[in-house]
Amino acid sequence: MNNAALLPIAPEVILLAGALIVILLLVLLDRPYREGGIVAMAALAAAAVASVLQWQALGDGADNLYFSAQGVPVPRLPMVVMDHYSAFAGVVIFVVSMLGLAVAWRLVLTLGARSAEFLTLVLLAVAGLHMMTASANMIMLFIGLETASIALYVLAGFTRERANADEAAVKYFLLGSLASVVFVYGAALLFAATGSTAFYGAGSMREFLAENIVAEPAILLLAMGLVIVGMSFKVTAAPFHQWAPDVYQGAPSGIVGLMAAGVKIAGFAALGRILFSALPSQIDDWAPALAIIAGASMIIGTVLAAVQDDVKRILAYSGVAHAGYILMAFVAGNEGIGSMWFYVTTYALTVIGVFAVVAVVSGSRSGSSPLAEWSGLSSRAPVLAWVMLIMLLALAGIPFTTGFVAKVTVFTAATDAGYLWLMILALVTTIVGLYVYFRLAAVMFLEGPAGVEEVVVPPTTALVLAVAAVTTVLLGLLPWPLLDLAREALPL
Amino acid sequence: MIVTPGWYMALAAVLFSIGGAGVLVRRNALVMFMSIELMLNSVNLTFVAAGTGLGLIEGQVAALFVIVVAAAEVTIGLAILVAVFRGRATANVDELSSLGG
Amino acid sequence: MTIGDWLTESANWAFLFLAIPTFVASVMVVSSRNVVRAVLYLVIALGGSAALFLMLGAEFVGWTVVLVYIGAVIILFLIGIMITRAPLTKSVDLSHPISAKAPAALLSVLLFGVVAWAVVESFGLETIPLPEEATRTGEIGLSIFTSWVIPFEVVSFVLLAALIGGIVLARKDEPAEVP
Repeated sequence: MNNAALLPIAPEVILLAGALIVILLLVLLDRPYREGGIVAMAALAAAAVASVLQWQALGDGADNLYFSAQGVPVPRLPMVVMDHYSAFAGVVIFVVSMLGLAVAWRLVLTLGARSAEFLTLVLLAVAGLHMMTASANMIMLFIGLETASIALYVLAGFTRERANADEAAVKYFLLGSLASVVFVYGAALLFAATGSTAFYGAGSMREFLAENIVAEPAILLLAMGLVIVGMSFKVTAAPFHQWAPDVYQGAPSGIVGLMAAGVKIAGFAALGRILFSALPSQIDDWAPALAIIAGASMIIGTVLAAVQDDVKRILAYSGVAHAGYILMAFVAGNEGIGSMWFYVTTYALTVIGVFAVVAVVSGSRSGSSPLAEWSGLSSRAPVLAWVMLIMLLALAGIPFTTGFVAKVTVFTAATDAGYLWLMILALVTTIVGLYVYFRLAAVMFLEGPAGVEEVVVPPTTALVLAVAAVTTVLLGLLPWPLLDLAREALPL
Repeated sequence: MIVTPGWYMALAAVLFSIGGAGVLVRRNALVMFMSIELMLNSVNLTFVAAGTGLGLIEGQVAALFVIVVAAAEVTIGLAILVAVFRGRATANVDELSSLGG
Repeated sequence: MTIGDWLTESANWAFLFLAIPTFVASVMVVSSRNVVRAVLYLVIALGGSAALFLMLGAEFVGWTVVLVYIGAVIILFLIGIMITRAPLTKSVDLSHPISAKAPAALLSVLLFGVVAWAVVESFGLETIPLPEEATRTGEIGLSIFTSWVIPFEVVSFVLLAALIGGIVLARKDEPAEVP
């Protein structure tokens, strides 16, 4: 097996190696907390580079598109797929994870000897997230999902001196495993209906559905429904979103950004992998279901975000609404993949930035972030308040930010696919959503300062905020480079 | 020896629904978790019955992977539950109320 | 096929003989007010399904369920009950009031109806002879170590995450260090 044959699994191998080095450092060196963090960052960066190399190899016409065991005829049972879709997902997930880890940097340093475990779990979670997007088989996807979930359950309850973090972990765990079970039951019924767990290759789901007309499609419909419901849990689409506000509020602020952004990217990418690659022939069945979930998410997310008094809960419900907007891209099928990628990427960058500000204002170990802590932020930390304002404008979808471009692209995709009602609904919830974000902005800019204590922005967080703010504005003004790449990032 | 895979899959559907009802109705975290195990077991039954019905070995292999992953999940789940409820002498999730959700 | 035909087949009697206890035990798991009893009913439910795996010709899966679930997972549950000091006697506050139960129960019955109908509709209830090649443990081993070797390796990610997670959760916190 030559080196090029290993390229499809290079990111996972790098991340696993990084995780093991972090553990070894703890044994070999005295208090290697900072060094461990640097190794973890380097592993994420190397994985991102590997994904870029994958993209380039594909442009040069790589012939190792699948990774499977030696001696197994490859298109028979591929396990890992390398295409523009997985390479794009890799770059986005790894870069966002680097930013997320930079926000958590302060948290890592305060954890002492536990920082090695923290970093290992982050690396394993990221590897699992990328595995979800690069799977060519339902069981592979499930294993990736579980790797990420198990690591994130523990991370949600990591700072255990607070009761909140415990509760967040319990809720996250019970509802998360319920979602996993629903998902894998859908996979089992898909296997029963199509006789395969593979997405690609001879006898795969896709081939089976392309060649056979399913006379009694009941089990197939049900299986697709269960898979969609299971993934909706993970990406916090309504009505399967109930865990998100509690978990976001309970988990340490330093890591919530990574949890929220990473799981959303991977969840949507995995859902897209299943629907676009394995079940493209059934689009007339799954698109209306997704449209309904999207509509419900937009309404529920927007309305409930307007009545919350905790910034993390507001952002959680805003995430529900944004999950609805992203699902709008799915109803357009293959045409919507580009807009899905653009929305997911820019939203993830914004969310990382927003939670970085939350971690600064409320402290990276703390759970809740009541609105009162935010009042008069503009006079205590003007730069921070303005950066937050840029992010909020992007979340609200104001022109000259990425949020606007992203919304326009998904709205166009849904309209072109014939879902005019969904587009109108999204327009209405966007306008209502303005209230949510301007309410927070008003608290920051118009109310008197909540206290006199100085707001300290750690240098790593400042870097993340700079990256997030610059990309939000720059890609809002000049979205074409990213849009072109996103439109190229199609699954096989 | 003959089998009727449809019956096995229908039984799996029954077990899955019972487990689902358990998760929705019960408030004891341990019992909710047991219900989830019941649902996972019905997933395995579905995989194996479908594999037998189709004459494919893949069903059993998939079931084995689900068992392994589920076992890892049990470890973490029970560790979380024990860590949380050690000091509280209850496993009722409704008493986890300080989050207000 | 009429009910009479169905009942003359001994394999169907064996199926009923295993399915009914499994079903009853599952109901008891979710409805028992006593947590320890719920765990013991879970043993019966899992044992019943292990026997069903054997009936389906999946010997290896069946015995793995016995070893992993009944052998290890059940013990973990019992230890969990012991450590959390969950009330061992009847507890009234174990469940929601009836008013909250009704929608959930309705949802489950609905779910069962839909799933069972879909299974029967699509898969039919035709009887097939047990295929020879789907029953041998050697075949499974060969399959896992050829076509499925990548997921087999990747499962180690899950196990590593679970191992480290378990250590993190079990260990006492050190006093926080301020850099």
